[in-house]
Amino acid sequence: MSTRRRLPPRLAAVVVVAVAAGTTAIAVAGGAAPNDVTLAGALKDDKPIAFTPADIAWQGSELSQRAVTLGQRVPLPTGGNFNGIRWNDLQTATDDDINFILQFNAACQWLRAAADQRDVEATAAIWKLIPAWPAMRRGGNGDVFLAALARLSVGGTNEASVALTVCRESHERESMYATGHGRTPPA
Amino acid sequence: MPATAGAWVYTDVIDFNLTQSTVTYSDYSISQGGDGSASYRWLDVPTKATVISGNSCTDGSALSTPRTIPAGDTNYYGLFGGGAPGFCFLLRGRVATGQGSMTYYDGRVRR
Repeated sequence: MSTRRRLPPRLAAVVVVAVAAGTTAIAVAGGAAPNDVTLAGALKDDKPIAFTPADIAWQGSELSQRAVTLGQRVPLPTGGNFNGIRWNDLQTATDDDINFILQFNAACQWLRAAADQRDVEATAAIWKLIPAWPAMRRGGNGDVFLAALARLSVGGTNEASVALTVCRESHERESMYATGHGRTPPA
Repeated sequence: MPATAGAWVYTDVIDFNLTQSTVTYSDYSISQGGDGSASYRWLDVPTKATVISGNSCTDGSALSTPRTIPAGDTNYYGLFGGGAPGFCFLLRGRVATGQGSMTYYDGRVRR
């Protein structure tokens, strides 16, 4: 399949450097720079996620590579990455599948960052944009995350929302998976 | 629109078009009133054996072993359990290996 998009020069450089350093392709799927609010804002203009079966279905190493490419458009907190996502469990995935999981996973990482008070300025800025991401516009997903975020400011982390609990449980799985495959786990 | 009956939330799945490659139909969340599990049944009598599964929205992980529903079976099949209310999952499916495709069949998610 030859539908891989060309990366913008800055992002292409990131991949080249990572490969030169001897890391595997999937290990560079770390998302965009944590303070890249421009990228976070750009995602809102992406087409809605419709899970269209007729789209190209990626599998195996091509699925991992596609996730690397698409993941470069999704900002993450400092130390964040997508190394814990289990693309192989999906067997096959379209761009909509990949984008949905990348954006949902990133929202989780930003929610945990807010709870842990990491990247405070970037976190505040990014949460003004995340609800407009296509994955968050589906079925009230964004509202669930915003409610969890609001709960942080009211109750603190002692009264964790379901969303935060789910994100923390997912983080445990991601860390285990990434470590087990010799990759850096997400912060 | 989801219809409610008792504590569960039921959502009809219209035209779950399946081939031999696993596809996503949509994302759903576990309801407040259920027991944390999600199940699936065909409303239209399936002419092929199908394989239905749930995957986590957060990391794509398979939430249990995919369930094989035999041809002709319209009973509910459990996809996974233990989800907290609001837990998001992807409903995914395919036809069993060697059986071609199955299109325009409707089903229902209980969650």
